[in-house]
Amino acid sequence: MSREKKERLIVFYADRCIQCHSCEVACQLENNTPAGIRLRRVRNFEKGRFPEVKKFYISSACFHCNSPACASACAVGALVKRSDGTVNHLQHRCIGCGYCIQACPFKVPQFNPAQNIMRKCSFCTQRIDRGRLPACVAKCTTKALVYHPEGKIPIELQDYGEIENLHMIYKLVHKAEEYGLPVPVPLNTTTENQLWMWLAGLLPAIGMTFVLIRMAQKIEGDKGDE
Amino acid sequence: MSEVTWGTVIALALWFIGVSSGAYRLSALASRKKEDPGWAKVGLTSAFLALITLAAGMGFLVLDLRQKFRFWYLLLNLNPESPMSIGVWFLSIFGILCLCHLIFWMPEPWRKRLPLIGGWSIWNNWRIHGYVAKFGMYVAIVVAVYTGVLLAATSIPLWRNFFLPPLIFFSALACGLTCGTLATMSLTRKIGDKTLFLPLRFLQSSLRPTLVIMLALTGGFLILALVQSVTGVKTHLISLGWMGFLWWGGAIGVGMIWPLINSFRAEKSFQARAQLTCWITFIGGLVLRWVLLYAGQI
Amino acid sequence: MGKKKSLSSEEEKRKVRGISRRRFLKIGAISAGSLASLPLMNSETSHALDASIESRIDREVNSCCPFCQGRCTTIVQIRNDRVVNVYGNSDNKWTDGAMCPKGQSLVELTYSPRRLLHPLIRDGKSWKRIPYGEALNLLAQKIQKIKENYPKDYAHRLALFTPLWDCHEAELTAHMTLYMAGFPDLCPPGDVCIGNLATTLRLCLGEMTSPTTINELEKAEYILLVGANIAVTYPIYVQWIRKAREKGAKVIYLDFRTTPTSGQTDEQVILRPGTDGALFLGMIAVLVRERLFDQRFVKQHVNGFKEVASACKEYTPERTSEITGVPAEKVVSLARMLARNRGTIIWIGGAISRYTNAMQTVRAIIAFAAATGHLAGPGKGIIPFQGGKPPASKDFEKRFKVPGLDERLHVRKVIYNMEQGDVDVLILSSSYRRYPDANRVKEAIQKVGFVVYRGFFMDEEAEMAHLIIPSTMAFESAGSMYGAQRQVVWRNKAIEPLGETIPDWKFYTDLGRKLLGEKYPTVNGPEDIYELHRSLTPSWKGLTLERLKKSPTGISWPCPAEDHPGTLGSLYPDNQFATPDKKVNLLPKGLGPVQWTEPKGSPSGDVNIRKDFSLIFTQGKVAEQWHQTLTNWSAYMGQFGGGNLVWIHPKTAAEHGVANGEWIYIETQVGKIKARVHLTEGILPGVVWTPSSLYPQSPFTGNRGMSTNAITPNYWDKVAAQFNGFGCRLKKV
Repeated sequence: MSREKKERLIVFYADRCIQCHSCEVACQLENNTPAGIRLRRVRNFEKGRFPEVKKFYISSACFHCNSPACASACAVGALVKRSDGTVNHLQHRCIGCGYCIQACPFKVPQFNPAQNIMRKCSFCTQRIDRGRLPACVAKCTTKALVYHPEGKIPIELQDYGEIENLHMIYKLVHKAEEYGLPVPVPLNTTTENQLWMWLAGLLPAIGMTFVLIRMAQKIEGDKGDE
Repeated sequence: MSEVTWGTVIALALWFIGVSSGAYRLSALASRKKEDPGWAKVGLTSAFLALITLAAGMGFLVLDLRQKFRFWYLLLNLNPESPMSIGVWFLSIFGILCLCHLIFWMPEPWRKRLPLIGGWSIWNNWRIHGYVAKFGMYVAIVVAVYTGVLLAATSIPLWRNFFLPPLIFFSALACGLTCGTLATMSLTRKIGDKTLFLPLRFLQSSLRPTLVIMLALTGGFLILALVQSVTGVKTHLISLGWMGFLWWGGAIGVGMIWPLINSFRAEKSFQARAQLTCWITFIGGLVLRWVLLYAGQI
Repeated sequence: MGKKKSLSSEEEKRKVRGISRRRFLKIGAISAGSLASLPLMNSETSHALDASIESRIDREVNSCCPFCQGRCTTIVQIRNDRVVNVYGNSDNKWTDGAMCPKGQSLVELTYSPRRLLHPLIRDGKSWKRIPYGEALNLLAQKIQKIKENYPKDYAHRLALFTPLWDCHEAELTAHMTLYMAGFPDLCPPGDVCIGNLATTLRLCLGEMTSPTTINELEKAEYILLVGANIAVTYPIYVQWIRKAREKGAKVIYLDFRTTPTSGQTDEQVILRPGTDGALFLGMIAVLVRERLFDQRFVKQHVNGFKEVASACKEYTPERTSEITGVPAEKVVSLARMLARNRGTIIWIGGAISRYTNAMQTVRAIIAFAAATGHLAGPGKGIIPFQGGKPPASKDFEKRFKVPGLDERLHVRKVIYNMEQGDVDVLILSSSYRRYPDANRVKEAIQKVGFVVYRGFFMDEEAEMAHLIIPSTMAFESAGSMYGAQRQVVWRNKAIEPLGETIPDWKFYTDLGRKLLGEKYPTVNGPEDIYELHRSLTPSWKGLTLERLKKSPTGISWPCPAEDHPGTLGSLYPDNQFATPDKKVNLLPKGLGPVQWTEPKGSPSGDVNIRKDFSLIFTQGKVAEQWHQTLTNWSAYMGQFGGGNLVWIHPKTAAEHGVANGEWIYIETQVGKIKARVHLTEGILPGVVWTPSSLYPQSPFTGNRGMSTNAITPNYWDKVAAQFNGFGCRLKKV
């Protein structure tokens, strides 16, 4: 099954990554974020004992979920899902409340102290709209990051990030948990939970309020008896 | 997950908003019994308190924004999927209601001094005050529950707990009731004052079930978190580190169990200790929110 | 006007989000209640992202990264005459548009607030700004004075520690100026680095440069990486390894650490540092015993194989195993595997050249490649770590030598002269910490009467100088560069130099004018020098400036004519080597007997050292740092570093009682540095490894640390120095 919608994808081939940090710096230069604020980040892992040691790496950024929890959570409409699948952040609208950080199941958004707003990967919309590659893909030294503008990728490549859900597809070597990825792929926690959370709060609350009203009346009655 | 996005400022904001909604409810209950001098005092004081704490809570919310001067963007947008957006709108409505409610409560001479709106005859309409109080009560409920849902509708494992919104609501209720009563007591300055007999009795009898339910919800919260084996519960809340100490000793021990024991005392001795009981419940609510915020993020 | 449009895209957006969203909308409508009627000022799907750089670029300039010999051609993005970003040129065949972080750090470094922008002269303990002309006059006076004071033997009283030049023209003008003025002592970095390997290649095969290029990897059946940690040193070339593997090549990696390269190879053979030579001699012995070697090739194209074969006899698989730690069966199977195939390419890492047995090792590798017959031809050959200097540059330099000018002294002799107070002027254009026992070199430099520093930042070298004339960075000057694939590329000037920084070619031509007056040729720009060099170099005849400027990949020499496409692949296609008799010479003069010896100072070779310093010290690169003086000033590069981290196997750590994250001293015979323990399973027990890129003056903690060469003992092979493999011990702080 391949994607029929014309949606952008980036595929990460974990077996090719060498943690050269190129994508991270590329991202920082393109997005003008200061050192320490990395919208794309490569993490490394070590497994096994000498001499059978495996070192492996994962380069991760925003997953551009189909149903983004951050956009659901944003109270000012600064996070928008575009029809090409990317989740964009309108920096001039961001108030820096931090709620998207709490909402994102992957902990992707970060505060940028230089701008005093939140920042996240924008899929380099400004570049792909001009027909160029996203910065991280353009500079990746080993072609571990590959950009698919039409969203069509061969079936054998589907791995982490059930293809229908995310726009960063990971072709992993080891189990997803070993890369620190949440399993199963999380859904939009904000919308999934919110109704039940409201009900769980409101029903007992209304009940208790009636009890209080009754109570107040009863106490008055007592006084009358005295 | 080492960086704490929401810290003490948010804890204070949530706490103040909760206190505000609880105080409003106390004041709204009192509005039915304006004839009783004790209730009247409580009503006026808590109406004041509701407005002040709401202002403080919203102030802290704005203070926590990284772009503080963009706070009004919140009122340019309604995102029905965002608890925060819903909450902000309800807070705004609640703010207006709080203000109206306070003006209803104001004695005539004070009200007369208000510019423009002070002269309106509507403020003397007892029935409209009743409607405002009643409607405001429901808005206050939403506002209090919002402070819980705001945390619960995220991806933070510790907060994604069905017991959290009711727990926060009942804690807000307890804080509001105690805070309103406490403020009235402080203003009358006479602890043994008989005029506060009825409100204090109400406090005692309402605090008891509230605290019992809170304890039950806390238990439920912990059990659910443990069953889901949420990271952080064991390390921060169950264990006896400094966080566990604050949780068990501060939020639960001082904030729930101690006042509960007090509430079971004889009426007279409860009234003698009412001030203390109010203080510990009140502070316990802040500790509860603070610990929950930090334990979720650290 | 755009409202309708934005609403419909809004709807589309919602649809995309699917069922859960629709369900929620219902609830939202209920819970929001009357609020739903409030004006919905929701967002448009914006295309313009405010802080994006892309939309604000004025112009793009073709450029080239000045760092390693990968020579990534780049596109520099400029806005308001300020470089805002740099991308790899996607038309470059070697890199396919990729780029490593080092080249990107230049965007930050060029505009670093700490960068030196004006010539400074020492004024007691502080510095005083002086105009460039005045600084140049002062230097010229000092040089003239040497000639006045020592009219006969002035030649060795001026020295230049040359950098890895940021363009070939800088190198040429420096030689031109100093040679014409009568000073031969330009000490190139190769003297301590790749010199052992380059010299051995020249002696055995005839050319100092890479015998083949990496596009041949795809044709090979086996690729042997001899300590070549490509993922760190040449990250852009890893894709060529992958392409080769996709075509069926098997990659075997010799290293004692698990590095990012390990994951890109089929098999890793772990051996003790500094023992590669023994492994190759052992494998030759297997080939000879089993008569697996290419007898026809050896007979027709190799001199001295018989001697090599008999010298290898003592390296039985068992003895080889004893030395290297590789199991004896593995030595035999590896030799068989590499002999019986279509083609093997051996890629030699830079570290191989930095042992006292380096030249023996490289000769053993060449001998092994010759024995298997995989020395020249498609899918065969050796790739050394650097392309090396084009041989023709030597002719160019000689042309400008004043008659009777001595040969240049080796850097060891120059340092000795400094210690004796026999050097009056030193042009310090690079880090002195690249030499072993760096503190001794520092003391020697302090005895020089007048030190001129050509650098970028107020670093340790600057603090030793009397005069600082700051240099331009890559974007600020034009020039040609030669790369590891023998390619030559051209870099355009992207922006005007900041402040009073001066490109090297201009500095040396200005100096030449000052010293020699009208005798010095007129040079109006790097283009003039390039053309001059091309006109004197037969193998570069075809590399015209116009061709270079149009070629993002660069053109590989030899390229004798303007319509010649350049030469890729083997330098010796018909097994005609560049030695006088066209044969591989395995016994050149000066290389000594065929054997393997322990690296000097190694604990396994010397009982006295083992007693006190039982661990083997090694150092190396990390992907985000370029040597010691430049990228350390970048905050972007600093965010990845951990300061002085020293890799230790948990077993070794337990034996020495140190724990992860603990601060320790690494002590050697010449000193100690402070470092933090990083426990990893990915290193051979008994060996410690530490990054060599650290720098005590760096403003960023990740880059800050003690220089490793401060504790490197002063051991040398015949050409270059040793930086690895000697004994050390750990001590708690």
